[in-house]
Amino acid sequence: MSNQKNRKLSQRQFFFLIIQTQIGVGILSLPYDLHIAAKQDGWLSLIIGAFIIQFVLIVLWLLGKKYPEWDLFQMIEFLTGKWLGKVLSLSYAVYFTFVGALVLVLFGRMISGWILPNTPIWVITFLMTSVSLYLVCSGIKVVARFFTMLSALLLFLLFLLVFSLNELKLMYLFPVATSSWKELAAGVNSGMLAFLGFILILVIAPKVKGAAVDTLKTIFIAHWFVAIFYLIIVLISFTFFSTEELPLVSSPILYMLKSFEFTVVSRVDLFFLSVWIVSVTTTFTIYIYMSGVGLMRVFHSQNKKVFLIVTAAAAFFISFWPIGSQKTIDAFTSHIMTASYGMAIFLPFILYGLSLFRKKNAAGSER
Amino acid sequence: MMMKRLLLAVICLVVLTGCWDTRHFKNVKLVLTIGFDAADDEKIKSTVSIPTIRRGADGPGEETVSVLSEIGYTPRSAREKIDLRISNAFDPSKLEVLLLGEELAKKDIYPVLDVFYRNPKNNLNAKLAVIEGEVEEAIGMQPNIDTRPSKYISGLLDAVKDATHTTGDNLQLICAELFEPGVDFVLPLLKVDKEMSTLKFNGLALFHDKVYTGDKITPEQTTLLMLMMGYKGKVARFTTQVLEDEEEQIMNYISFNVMNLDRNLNINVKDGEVEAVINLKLNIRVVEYPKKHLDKATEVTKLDDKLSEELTKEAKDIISRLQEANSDVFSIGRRIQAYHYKEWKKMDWNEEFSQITITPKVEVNIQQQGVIN
Repeated sequence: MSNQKNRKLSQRQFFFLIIQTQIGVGILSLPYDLHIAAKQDGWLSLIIGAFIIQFVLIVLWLLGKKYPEWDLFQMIEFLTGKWLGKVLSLSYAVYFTFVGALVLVLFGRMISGWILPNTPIWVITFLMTSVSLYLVCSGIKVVARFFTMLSALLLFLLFLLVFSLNELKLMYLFPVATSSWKELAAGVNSGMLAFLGFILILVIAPKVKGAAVDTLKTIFIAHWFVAIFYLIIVLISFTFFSTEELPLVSSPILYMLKSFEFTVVSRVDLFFLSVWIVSVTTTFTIYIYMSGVGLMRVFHSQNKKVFLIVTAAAAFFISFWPIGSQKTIDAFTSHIMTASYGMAIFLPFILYGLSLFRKKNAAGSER
Repeated sequence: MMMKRLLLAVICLVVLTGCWDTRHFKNVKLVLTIGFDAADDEKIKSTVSIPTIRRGADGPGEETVSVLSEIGYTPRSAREKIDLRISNAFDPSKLEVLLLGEELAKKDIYPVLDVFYRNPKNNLNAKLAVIEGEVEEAIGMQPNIDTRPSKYISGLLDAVKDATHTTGDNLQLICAELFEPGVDFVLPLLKVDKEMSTLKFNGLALFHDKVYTGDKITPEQTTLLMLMMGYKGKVARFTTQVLEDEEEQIMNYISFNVMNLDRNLNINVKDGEVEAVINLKLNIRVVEYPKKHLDKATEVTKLDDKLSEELTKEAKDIISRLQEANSDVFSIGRRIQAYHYKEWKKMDWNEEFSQITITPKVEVNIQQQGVIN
């Protein structure tokens, strides 16, 4: 990290890093998850969730602003002391690896179910792992540039959805707000989970150039970009499928695209999936990166590549464990989601609380 | 650097050695039409048409179509049996038409369709139709007009859709209508005409929930029903009797095309009483009117009024049929659920629909009359 100064990321790259991390494996099932929880009011839950996350983001930003030179792991070590800090940092690294494994599991399952039923899943996940590993080994600057380029594909995803506009029936969104508070809250839960990945802000912030205010602006714009992207997808799914039908369709967008046919492309869903794979790759790449950085800090090492390979391999092998049946995948998912509340929301709040009691310290005084 | 190269080599090895999921065209038999009939003991008879291309030494291959039927407990088990009879694997991923026998459609049709929704390889764009009589006859028929039955049937279904006789629903689009309470649907009815060796569009089968009610809308009325539902294909043509006193029968009729339409459906719920009004405004172009005195504005207005009256009368007839069959094709029920949720919770829509008042108001405007008056 000696040449960190001239390797800083621009605000634009920061923006694309955030959205590419957040938009990932979840977009296919998000409308379904919301609908299961809150029926046709799922989109309300999503908006409520987005506002809550917005609040969390402010706290993360305040924390990052206090220690502009440090990433998450350095902050942890400074704020909680050496040993507890190491334990917490390590658990973050493990958490990121597990999220990476979850991404692999959901990805492998989806590809296996929709396109390649005869290919062993490990081949699919192995390809994903190796591509991401290759990408992440080139350094965060390259990753950021690559993500910026790939973001054009998100527009392509939206473009594919245009064809559905004829078949949408707004009627299916009504009656509004008939779900109970409990259902709405469950929907908020599913909605918030779609935004996870924002913790990236704390890991990457010290590498971003520009004033803290600019960073906040970028974070907000990125957050609402993702929120609106999700909202479009959810509204399209909710109005294309009827209220009673959606609970049967676990990846509504794909299912919807499958029923359209054009002269040249007869299976639009496969098109969509190919683009979606890219979104999954970006998410997985970032989780490997964060986990690798975490391990590096824990072991005070400079050899990033070794740790990246270790985490990628770990995620790959962990993914074998739940991939067998839907039941184990669901259990795995729900455990990681619970952990996410602790790691991405609760702990940062604690850290911020601690930072209020710590005397404002000149950055890097420890080293 | 070394590591990157190694990684690249490994990736190439994995990617280039081949694919587990290749499906060669030579190894599958594409099934383009599939149909289901009810068989004895609640079994299902599945009939498929499979085109085979025989390669000649030179010139284009000759195409033959074989039709196979088997009986099984479920569509899939019947398919396994058919698989045992053909040289390659049975592949419905390019399915064009799915036909349901009348008897089968009178029971819940979802169990028959489930296999198509469940497998991602299947084509959800396949068109559906109900056959009056046996599907086996329809698929087995050798049409003189087109070479293969599937092309013929799908062409026929496209044509009736373009002529505003059906909604053109495919497998995916009816799925919502199957499950949603307060939303029903219609499917085209086809009948085998043995003498002419053709199929004939014979109206629309009215469904309630997931079941064919057995009632239908006749082909003469389907266009008006479609317009009342807000659908218009490429052309919507009517021939209506507007006069009675002319000596020659041909003089009594007028034919016109609908140029555009404006439909709205108003629903009022008061004290549990549902009132629905369907306003339909049609702008038309007269294409045939042998009596040819459309030069005066008053004549045109008179004709407008007469046509409006006739079509409104017919619309009322259609609605009484729908209510008799308890088939809520306008999705009035779902609308009440959406916009009058409190009232909806109090009613039992299955009972209610036939009791409500639906008033159609058709307003016709002659806008063009061809190049002569």
